[in-house]
Amino acid sequence: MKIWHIALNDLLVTRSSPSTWLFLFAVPAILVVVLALPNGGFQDPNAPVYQRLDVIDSDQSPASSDLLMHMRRANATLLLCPIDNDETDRCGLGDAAFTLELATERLRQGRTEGYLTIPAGFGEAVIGQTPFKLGFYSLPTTELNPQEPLLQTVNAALTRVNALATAQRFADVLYADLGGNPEFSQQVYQRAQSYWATEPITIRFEQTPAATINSDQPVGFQQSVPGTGSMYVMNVVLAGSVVLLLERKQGTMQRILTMPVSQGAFIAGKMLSRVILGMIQFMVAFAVGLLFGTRYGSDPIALILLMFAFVLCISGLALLLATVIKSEEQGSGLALFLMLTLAPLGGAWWSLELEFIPEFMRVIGNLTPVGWVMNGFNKLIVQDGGLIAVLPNIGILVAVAGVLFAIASYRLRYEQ
Amino acid sequence: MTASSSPSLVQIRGLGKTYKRADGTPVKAVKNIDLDILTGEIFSLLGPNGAGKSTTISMISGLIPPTQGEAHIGGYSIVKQPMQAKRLMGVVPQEIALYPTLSARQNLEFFGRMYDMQGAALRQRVDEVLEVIDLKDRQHDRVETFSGGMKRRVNIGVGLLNKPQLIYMDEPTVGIDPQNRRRILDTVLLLREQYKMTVLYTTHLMEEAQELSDRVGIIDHGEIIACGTQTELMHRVGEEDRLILSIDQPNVSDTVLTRFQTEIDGVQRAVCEINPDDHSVKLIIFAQRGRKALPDAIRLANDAGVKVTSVEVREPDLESLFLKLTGRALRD
Repeated sequence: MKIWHIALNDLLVTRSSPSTWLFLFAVPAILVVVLALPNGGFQDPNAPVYQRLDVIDSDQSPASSDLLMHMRRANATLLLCPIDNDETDRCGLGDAAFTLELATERLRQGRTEGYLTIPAGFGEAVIGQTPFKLGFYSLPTTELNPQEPLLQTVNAALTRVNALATAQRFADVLYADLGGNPEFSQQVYQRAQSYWATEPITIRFEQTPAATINSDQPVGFQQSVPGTGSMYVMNVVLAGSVVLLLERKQGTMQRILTMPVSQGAFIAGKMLSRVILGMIQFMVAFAVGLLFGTRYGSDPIALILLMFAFVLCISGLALLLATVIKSEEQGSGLALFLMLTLAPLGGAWWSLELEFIPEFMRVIGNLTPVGWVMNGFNKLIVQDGGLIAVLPNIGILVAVAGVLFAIASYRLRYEQ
Repeated sequence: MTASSSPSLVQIRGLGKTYKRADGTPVKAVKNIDLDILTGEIFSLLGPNGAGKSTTISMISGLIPPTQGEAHIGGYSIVKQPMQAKRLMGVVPQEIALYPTLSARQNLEFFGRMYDMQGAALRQRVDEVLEVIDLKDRQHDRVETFSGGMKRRVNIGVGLLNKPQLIYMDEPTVGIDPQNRRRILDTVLLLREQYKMTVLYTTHLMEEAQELSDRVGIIDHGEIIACGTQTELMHRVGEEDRLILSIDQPNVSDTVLTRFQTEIDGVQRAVCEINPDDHSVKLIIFAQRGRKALPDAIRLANDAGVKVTSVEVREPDLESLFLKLTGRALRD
């Protein structure tokens, strides 16, 4: 009971400071939004993402229309510009007149994945089964480039159009030899078309708004909410090391220890208040994310357990810090240093899976508590995992917390 | 175990504390103290700064463990039964040990909970304490907005919360104005008269010890060098008065000091004392009848070329006892 009262008193003291509301609520809330921007902004990670492909159709024939139709069917993420543009200007064309030069420029600026030119005569070539060249242009590719599936899309559509044309030509030849109805071949074409209605092969291509690596990478608020939360948990909990020092400095710790209160109860009370503040900090960050429509997976219990394990781990670190520091300035400086080092290193500011993160940094990051908790959040929020998925993360955080508390308890000396 | 039926509420035997300096050198802060504090008395531990008063209080309040010896409070060992012993005592530390951003009432309620008080009983006790320290009208104000004296009173209030049998007060009047000092001294007397508490009061001010105490222990360099009632202690000084001559020069030679002893009847000895704060210099002459020796002392001073700026005759007191025992003034 005394532990609880010590914790409540600590919270009361924290609340009585005018800067509490600013640093406990306002700053992290703002940072959640700010940090979301470079990580993909306000886009809904679950919303469909289109790949823009500019099309210059100089043929305007039924065959070219069919080609484009089959491309759409083969790849649902494909946005053919300017043909599929709408009032929201999904193609991003604005008022500009669409020309080959514009398409080239758009590709160069990275506003499209490529452009396709269908020269005049394409329809006749298809019907006549004569060699013909389409133009597909994209920028030099990387191993994870999105152009590869686009090219597959074009080829798949071309195969279909060619197959249809072949069927029609076959019918033409057949009925020319048999002196049949000249409309027959057209009917064969349409029948063949209907046979292709169910798409046997589709190109499935998914792209995240952030930058295109894979769908397991957190985006926008999926990254900034747990990232900011973790960082501010460190901020508020590591400050606990200074609180112990302050209590000693202002004599309140000594006074409490002359009362029927054990040293263990005193420390436990102080740590409990930090755990509560840490959980509040997580709640603030996650509440802000909710306001912006962020979804946190389907296992809230696992989410809370993961948060708690991280807060516990950082509390152990704070207590250990309290046994090392000799002054308030030293404590604050060390806490700030740890926060500003562990947060980016462990992936609180950006995903460790991003391309520009060097492999050795990724390895180091995954050895930090922030790395473990962010990995856990990723499993729950992005991959929609459950408690089983994050048990290793929770386990290692709790184990490390235990080790840190044990070392800190050993080192703690209350003798003046 | 029940509280002892002995008239001594506090029994200290062979208590000592040795610290180690950063270089590993041991420092004996308190040496082998034996002391009994009787139920219902005000006992003052008088000594200069750094004499070991606070270390002694810290050990017998369970804050730091002794390196030797033992203390019993109401029959409970502070080392082996600290929780039972702590329930009998209240501690008023030298510094203001309060939460400055909380109100007086919030502070008192929190510390009350540390004694397992709660609900209506806690609220009632806090009201009572606020009455005693005369701060009921400011109970909801933050402690940081209080004057030094008001903070001291809240500091004392916390020590009274659990209605202790024994209250330690470690220099509670340090750094406050005369009006608040008077109020605190009156509160200490009230604790004994009205609430029948036993008070262990540490101070370096002889006047406070003389005014408050039933008995006084004089501590210096970690040792109790004298202990008893004021009458008993005065006997140790003898009937010596002190002639205190303020002089306007940095020192007086040993030859001149010896002349006071040999040339004036009834003078036992003479010493020269320099106040480290204002560097004023005083010539102190111990004489059996101070007023009688005064004219000869002034004449001799003039003969020796010592310029006297003021003269004071003091009868025996704790200050003179300390001076006699240690050769130093209390404030040194």
